[in-house]
Amino acid sequence: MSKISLYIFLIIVYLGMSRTFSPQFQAQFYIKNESSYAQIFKEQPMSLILMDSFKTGFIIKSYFQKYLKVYAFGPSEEIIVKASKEFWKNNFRNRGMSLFRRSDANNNNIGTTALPPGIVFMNNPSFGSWRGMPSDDYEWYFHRAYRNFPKVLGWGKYQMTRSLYLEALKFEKKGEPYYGPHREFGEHGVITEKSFPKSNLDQRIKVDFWEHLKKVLQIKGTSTNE
Amino acid sequence: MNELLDKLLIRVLLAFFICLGIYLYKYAHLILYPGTKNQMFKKFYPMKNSADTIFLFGRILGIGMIFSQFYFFMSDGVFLALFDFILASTISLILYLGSLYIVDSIVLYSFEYHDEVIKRENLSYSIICFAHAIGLAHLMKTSVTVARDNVNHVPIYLIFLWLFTMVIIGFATKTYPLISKFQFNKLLVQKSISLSLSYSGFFLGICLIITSSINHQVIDIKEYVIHTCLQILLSLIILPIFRKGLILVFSFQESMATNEIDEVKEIENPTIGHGIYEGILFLTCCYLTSVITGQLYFGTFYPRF
Repeated sequence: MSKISLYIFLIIVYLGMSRTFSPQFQAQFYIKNESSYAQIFKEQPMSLILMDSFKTGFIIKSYFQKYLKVYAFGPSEEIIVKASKEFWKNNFRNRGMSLFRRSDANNNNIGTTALPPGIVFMNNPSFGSWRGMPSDDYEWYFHRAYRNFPKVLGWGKYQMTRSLYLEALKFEKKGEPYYGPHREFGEHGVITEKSFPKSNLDQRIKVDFWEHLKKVLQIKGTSTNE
Repeated sequence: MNELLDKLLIRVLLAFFICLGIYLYKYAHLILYPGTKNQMFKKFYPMKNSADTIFLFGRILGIGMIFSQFYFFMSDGVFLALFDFILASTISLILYLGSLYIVDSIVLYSFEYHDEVIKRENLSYSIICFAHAIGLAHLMKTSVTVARDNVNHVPIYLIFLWLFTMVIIGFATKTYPLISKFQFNKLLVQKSISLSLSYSGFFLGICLIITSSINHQVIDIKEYVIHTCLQILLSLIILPIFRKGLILVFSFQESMATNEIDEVKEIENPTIGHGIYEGILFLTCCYLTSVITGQLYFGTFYPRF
C-alpha cells in the first residue's frame, strides 16, 4: 500500500512540477465556465468572438478555443485558451459568435450569452448610428474611425439591422443564444463560414500508410517512380 | 604513399598521447590512494591479485571511454589539434578522477582501497569499483558531448555539468537499500560477489538514467536543471512499470524460501544467482526506461500555441 501511495505521490509531483515550470502552461489562460471571462479579459468596450474549437491528445484530450478579441481602443488580437470539456462542448456550435462582451468598466455590464459578433458596439452613439432602410428597418453604420469594424467583426457585406439587434437583446434576456434571423452566425452559418472558417489546428497532415511503407522499404538512391 | 605514411605517423603520435594520458593516471592513482606508492611502481602480476587487475583495468577502460569522445581536427594543423585535445582531455580526466574519488568516498566510506584490494584481495570491492569507473566514464562522456555540442564555453559548462551530475549521483547511490534487500557493508566485508553484481547493475542502471536525463540541449541553465530533474522524476515513474512487467511476463520468483527464517538466511548469504538477477533486472529496466524518457519525440503531436 505504501509503495502505491509513493508511486501516486511521484506522479503528482511530476505533473505538478511539469505544470509549474512549463512556460507553455504558465502563459495559457484557462476557461472553466462563463464566469472565467471577466477575470481574464479586463478591457472595455470589447467583444470576444469564438473563432474555432479544437481538441488535442491521444487518450486524455485537451480542449482549446481560439478567440478574436475585438477591443474598441486597440488592435484586435487572436488568443488561444484552454477550456473545460463541458464548456468546450456547450460552445462547440457557437463558432463565429460573441461569447463575452463588456460594454464598460462596470462588471454588471457584461454579457456571456452567445450572440452575433459586435452587438456590444451597436446602438452606442460613440461607435456609429442607425440609418433608415426602404424596408422600414434601420441599418447600423459605424463612424469613420471604426470603419474597419464590419471586416474585423466578420460581418463583411452583411447589414446588421435594428430588428436583428432587438431580437438579439430579447434572446440575451432569456439567456439563449441567437444565431441571426436565418442562422447566418454560428457553426455552419453563412457569415461564420466565410469570416471564421475552421482552421483545423488539431488536424495533422495525413500520411498514407502505403506511401509511408514504400518510403521505409525503399533502398536509398532508388526512386519509387521508376 | 607519402601521404598514407604521414597519416599513419600522426595516428601513432596521437596513440602515444593517449598512452601518456593513461601513464599520468599512474601518478593520479598515487594522489588518490597515497598508501600504494610501493605497489604502483613495482612489477605487477595480474595472476596474483585479480581484484587489483579488475580495479586497475576498470579505471583504464574508463579513461579510454572518455578519450573516445574527443576528436582531432587536423585542418588547423597538428599543434592546434593536439592543444585542443590536451586541454579538453586534461579537464575531463581531472573531473573523472574527482568523480571516482567522490563516489568511492560516498559508497565505500568505511572501506580502504589498500586494505580491501591489496591486502584482502576483495573481488567484490573491485567489481564495485569497476562499475563505478565504467558508469562514471559513461556519464562524463555524455557531459563532454552536451557541453561541446551546445555551448561555446566548454570548460565552464563541463564543470557545471560535472558538479550537477555529482550531486544527482550522490543522492542516487544512497537509494540502493530501497532497491535491494542486501546489507551492503556486511556483505562487502564477507567479499560477497552476489552483492557486487547486484550493486554493479544498480549503479550502471542509475548512470544510464542520469545520462539519458542530462543528454539534452543547454539553452538556459535554470531550464536545463528543471528539465533534467523532471526527466529523472519521469524515469522513477516509468521504471517500476518495466520491473513489474518483466517479473510478470517471465514469472521471476525473487525468493526460493518457503518461510521467513529461510528468507532471512537467503538475504544474509545470497547466492550469485540472486545478485545477478537483481543487478541485471535493474540494469535492463533502467535501459528500457531510458528509451522511453530519452528517445520519445512528440514533434507536432501536441500543437504549441
